[in-house]
Amino acid sequence: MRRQGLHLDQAPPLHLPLRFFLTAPLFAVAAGLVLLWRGSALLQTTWSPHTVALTHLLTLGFISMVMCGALYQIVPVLVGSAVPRLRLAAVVHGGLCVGVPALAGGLLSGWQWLLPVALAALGIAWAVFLGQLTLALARAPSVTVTVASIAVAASSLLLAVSLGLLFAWELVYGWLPPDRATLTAVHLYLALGGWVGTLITGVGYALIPMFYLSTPFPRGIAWLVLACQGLMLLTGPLLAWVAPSRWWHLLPLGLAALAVTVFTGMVWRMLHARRRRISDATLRFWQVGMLALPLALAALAVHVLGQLPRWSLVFGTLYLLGFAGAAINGMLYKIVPFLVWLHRFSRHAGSAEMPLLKDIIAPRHMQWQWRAYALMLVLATAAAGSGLDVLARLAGLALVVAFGALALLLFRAARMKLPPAARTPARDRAGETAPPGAR
Amino acid sequence: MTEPTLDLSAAPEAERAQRLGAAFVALAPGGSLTFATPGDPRKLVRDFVAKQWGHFDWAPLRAGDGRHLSQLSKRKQQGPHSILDMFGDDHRRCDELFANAESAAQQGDAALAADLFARYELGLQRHFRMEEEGIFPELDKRMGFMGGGPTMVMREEHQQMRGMLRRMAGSVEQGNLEEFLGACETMLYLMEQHNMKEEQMLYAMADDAFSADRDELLRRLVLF
Repeated sequence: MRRQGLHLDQAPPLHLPLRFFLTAPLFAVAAGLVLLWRGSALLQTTWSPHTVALTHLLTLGFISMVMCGALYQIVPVLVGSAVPRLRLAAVVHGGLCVGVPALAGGLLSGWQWLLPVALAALGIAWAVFLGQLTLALARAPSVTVTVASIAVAASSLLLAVSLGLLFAWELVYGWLPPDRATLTAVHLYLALGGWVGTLITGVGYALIPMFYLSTPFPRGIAWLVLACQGLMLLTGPLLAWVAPSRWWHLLPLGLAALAVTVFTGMVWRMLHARRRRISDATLRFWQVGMLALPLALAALAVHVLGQLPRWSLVFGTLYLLGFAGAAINGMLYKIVPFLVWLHRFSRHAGSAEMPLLKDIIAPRHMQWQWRAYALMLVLATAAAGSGLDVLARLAGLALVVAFGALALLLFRAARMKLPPAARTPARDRAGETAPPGAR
Repeated sequence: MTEPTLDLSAAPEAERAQRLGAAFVALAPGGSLTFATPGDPRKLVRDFVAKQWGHFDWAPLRAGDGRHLSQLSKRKQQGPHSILDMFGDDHRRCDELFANAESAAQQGDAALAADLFARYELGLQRHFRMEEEGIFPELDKRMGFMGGGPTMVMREEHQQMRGMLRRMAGSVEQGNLEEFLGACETMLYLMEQHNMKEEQMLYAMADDAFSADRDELLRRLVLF
């Protein structure tokens, strides 16, 4: 029977996703510190090595770090097959923790010797991660739109990382690839549109209805969004390669616009008509993300069609900090308290003293952090759009505060233990008990 | 709060089936009605299973005080049920009952929250029993799980959710709505990740395992 090999007890141990989730905000804090230190010098052109360093602290250190941790957690359920050799996740985490600071440090300081370290560490981390993910996807019992989206995201990641490694190689060893500008455009399409974009939409189809008790994302519409994303990922790099007039770029932009309009429109409708009428900080994060995404795309259109380089910075800010940053921040508030609860407290579910999710991260603390995040996004967008030094440094400070607060809340959540009074006598074993799936 | 749209408590027993049948015919596909009966409505439902199987879903909402409330809905897609369809739909139904109770608590209406919570609890406990008594033992036998494997994980999560139901019941009975809402949030996540595992994996597995005698099983389970 085709599903006989499946097991529901494939959830990874608590420390595995947590190590990714707890490290990630620290890289956003580091990005904030870099911005605070260098100010508007980082916001002149996307080509400066310092700006590239800042960007990769966010894309690899923050966004990809969370995405990897989340995939280890949800692939067994969403894809329906186990991630092989789960222990290697520590290698992926270690590789990112060494590689991202080495890359950013090398680019910022000019110390060339750091770049080969980054090359090796990131190369190993991504090779292991992509190997595990590919095997899990290959064993998927059925191809749902989420599985297909994750597969598109993984393929994009493979190509984007290969190009990224090629760029780092070129910086160190001086071998010049044929056309750096074209390859950079391809890298951006695949990394931002493919890896970040397709993964968030693909996982969103499954998670939004679940978290907010909304109607399911209509399957046909989800496939339409994925088809647009796929076509954009094919035509965008191809057109960048053959480099006809810039008006041709309207084609991938139009496809992206269609995907974004349909996806965000549908999510807004689902959130508006959700059965669960409670509003919390996580809902605000999704709403901001769904607002930032179309705005980011508009900024990108202005940049491409108007040949206005500054707008590429606005696009990057809105896309990375607005869309991806909000989706990730909100998701961390859903997933971290729940995982802590599930692994440590769920066995004592009947006890009146057992902590609830609201005791793990207090909703009012989330509200405060949400405000810091919103202020940061406004400042960062204004800084990217204006290039003013004072705004850039303020945005850096706001990044440190917003993601420092997130890190603090997540660390406190991860340290929380079962209060002795909550232990039900019959089941009083170790302080930390694994959920049924984690043993 | 959904009031009964069809009150059969005063109707003579002989007329009940006919009146319920007429109300069902008038339902639009995807629509549902609430009906009240003086005693257990399962006799009426058994009649429905015989005549209308594949066209409807039934679930009890409230029992006791000599008056039973239940919900009858007309399926949008008619024909034989799969386990995934029937149990997935029941998840959505329980979600709805959950959201209703939670909204009432959020609006500060303790009495309404308690009443709606009781419906949710009845629905969820019935859902667990349909799985634990109707599906899991036979699935274990057919798949050779020997009481371990995925059904064991699901049973343990049911126990955790029963614990949360007790805590929710305790707080809503005392009128402590803040505590109730906190418990609701935790319950929601526990329930949704559990539902997702069942819908993504377990039900599909069960549909395969029961392919030949599935319909017979589901006809029996709807009366739980």
